[in-house]
Amino acid sequence: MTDQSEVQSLIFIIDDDKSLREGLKRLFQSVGLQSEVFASASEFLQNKIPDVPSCIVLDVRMPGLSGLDLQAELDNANIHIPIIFMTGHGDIPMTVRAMKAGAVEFLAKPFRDQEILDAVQLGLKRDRSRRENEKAATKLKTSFESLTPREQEIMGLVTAGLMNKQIAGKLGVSEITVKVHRGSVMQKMDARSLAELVRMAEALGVRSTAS
Amino acid sequence: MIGRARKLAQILDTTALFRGRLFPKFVAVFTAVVFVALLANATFETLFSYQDRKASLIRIQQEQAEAAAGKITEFFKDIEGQLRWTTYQPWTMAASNQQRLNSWRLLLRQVPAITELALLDDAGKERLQVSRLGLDALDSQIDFSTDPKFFEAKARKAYYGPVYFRHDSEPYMTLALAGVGNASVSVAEVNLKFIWDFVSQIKVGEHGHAYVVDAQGRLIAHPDISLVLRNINLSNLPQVQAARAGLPQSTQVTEDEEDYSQEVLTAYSAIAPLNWLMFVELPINEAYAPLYYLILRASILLIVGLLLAFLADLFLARRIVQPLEQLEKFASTVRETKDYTLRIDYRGNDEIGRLAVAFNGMLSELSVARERESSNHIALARASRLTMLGTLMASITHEINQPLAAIATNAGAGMRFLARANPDIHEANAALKEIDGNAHRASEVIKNIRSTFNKDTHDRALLNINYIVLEVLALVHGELNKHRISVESELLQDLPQVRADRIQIQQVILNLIINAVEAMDLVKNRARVLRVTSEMQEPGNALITVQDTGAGIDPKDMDQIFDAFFTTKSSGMGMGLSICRSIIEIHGGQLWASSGLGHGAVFNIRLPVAKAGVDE
Repeated sequence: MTDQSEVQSLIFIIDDDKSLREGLKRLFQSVGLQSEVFASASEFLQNKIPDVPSCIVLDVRMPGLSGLDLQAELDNANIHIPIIFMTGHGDIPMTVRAMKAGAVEFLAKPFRDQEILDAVQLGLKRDRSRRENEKAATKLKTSFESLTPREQEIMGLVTAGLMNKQIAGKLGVSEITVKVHRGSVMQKMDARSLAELVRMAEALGVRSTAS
Repeated sequence: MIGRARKLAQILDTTALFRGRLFPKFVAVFTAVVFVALLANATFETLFSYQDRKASLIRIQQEQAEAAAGKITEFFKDIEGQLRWTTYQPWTMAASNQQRLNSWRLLLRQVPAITELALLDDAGKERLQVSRLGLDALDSQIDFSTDPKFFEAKARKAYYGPVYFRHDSEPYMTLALAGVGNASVSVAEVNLKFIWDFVSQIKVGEHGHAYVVDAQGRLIAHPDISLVLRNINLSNLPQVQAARAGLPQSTQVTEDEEDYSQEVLTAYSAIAPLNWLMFVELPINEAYAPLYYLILRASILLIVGLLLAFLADLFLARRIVQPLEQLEKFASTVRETKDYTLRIDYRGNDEIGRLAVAFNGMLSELSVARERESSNHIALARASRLTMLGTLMASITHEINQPLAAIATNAGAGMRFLARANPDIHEANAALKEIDGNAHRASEVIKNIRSTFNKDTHDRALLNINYIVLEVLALVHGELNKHRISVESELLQDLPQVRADRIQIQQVILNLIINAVEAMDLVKNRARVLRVTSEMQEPGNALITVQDTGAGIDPKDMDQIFDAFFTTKSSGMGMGLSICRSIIEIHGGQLWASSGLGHGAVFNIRLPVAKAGVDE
């Protein structure tokens, strides 16, 4: 468990310039952030990405795969780790392209240490909330999958705004049975109110259209 | 008068014109045309005159010959008539014979041509004879019965004997007439001197003459009596042969005489009773003398005509060829000077005038196109200069920013390690080491760039700065025109060469000139003059100056204008003069500015000249 708490987050530094990437590693270390360095994009891609909040500090101009190429590659692989770009000389079209593709920040070298630290903090925060969202969604999905087919059906109808009576009529069961199923759904989905259940159904996309 | 003579001399001075090919062609063709026309005219005129002349001469000679022949015929007829009546009475021995003698003597007196007169009786015996020369004889009884003069006369009533000469001097002829029936025969010895005199008197021109040949072709009358006396037979003469063959009555023949031959024009007429031929001849030379004169006159006219035509052609050709040459010279001038603002000054509505107008029009379009092209050129040069600069800057920026970023990052890290409650000296030290390394790395980059710039001397060659100045001026010609800037250049002719990078020096001079042009853009109240000079300043150094009449340089800016990023222009980068100075300095020279006399700024370039004999 201690290991887990130490690795709260991880920063990937990708730059072909050794002194800069070592300097960045040292800087992050000085504020207690863990980082890993890579000399090229392909070296990074060969590495297994650990499941912790992380962000990438990426040089735009590198031999081989460029920073922007790597960004596109990760996007294709459905990996959404926030990226902070660094460049020796950036022009406006390059910046726009990177920001549009979801970059956290675009820093021109040389930058102030605080600038990159702020950018990294922002990136990690975004990654953390992204990960939480992803985790919640996963949990919701698991709960939903634990429902019986009949329960899933009733959850769709309930969240569509139908009354128990109507549901019973529609499914050809007694109102009592609907009530039991409904209680079971609320419990399994860990929903404290109908409103919460509706929000969950919305997120899962299982809410029946009112008809 | 002198002026006219000079003008003529100018027209005749065609040595220069003959160098081209058009001019001699033109003159030759037109002179030939005139020559042929005149020659044809003269030839036809001569030919027709010749034929007219020949016909009329022949006619005259023919008439003369006929008249003379008629006269001779008449002469004989006359004698015959006189003789005729003596034959009416046959010879009888009668007392009347004395009377007859007397009457015959009277006859002799009346007819001077008859020298002797004899009467032959029926048997051919001479009965009576009277003579101017000898004694008269009566009934001499000499028998002439075998003499042709008797039996021929008897047979044919008349007998014409051959011509003979007495005392080798006088031509004579025997004429015998027979009476009717048994009548006697009268024989007369006729002196032909009369015919000779008559023939001699016939005058044909200057050297023409008449002569008579008998039926056998013997010459019997000729102005030159000696020929006659030699008893020449002329039957071999072509005209005589022709006449005897009965051919047309006039010919032109070559007469071969003993010591010379000449062509003669001859006409003849027959003398009826005698079968003699009367010839009238005229030497061709004389007959055609007027023709020769005519030919001479025609030749002189031909020559004069030709001369006049030649002169006229020269004049005309000059009128045509000279403007063409002017055009050619002008085109060459334009080509050499590349000055498309020149215009031909040729007035005239003729084809050449229109050609000149077309030429000028073409030049106008050419100069407009040229101007457009050259301003495009300038824009291009500027753009490429900026692009080059931009690329260079980007590369430098990247190389420098990399270590700077490492320094900044390490500095931040170091400070943070030290600022901890429990400072990590070890890490801070490591960071400082990194900072030190990267600072050196940055300075190394700068050093490399400088040395690259300095080392790049392989493009250097021996150059004549004047050519570069002129090239750049030609390049900005359109720009200068557009801004109405006049150029004064004072370039030292024998400026020694310098060893330099052509492109870089061009860039510097172009830069200074463009700066000057821009500086004068605001000048409204005085002349805009760009002045470029080159001179030797001191041994081993060439000095090139670029002066303008712009606003000049503010004295407080004077120290900074060569600094990078210093600019007074709204759109400038402030790199131009800085780079210019660097270029000149790496060539071992200096670039500085000073204030001009009056208005404007002066930029001075000093470059060391190459040492003589050192080449690569």
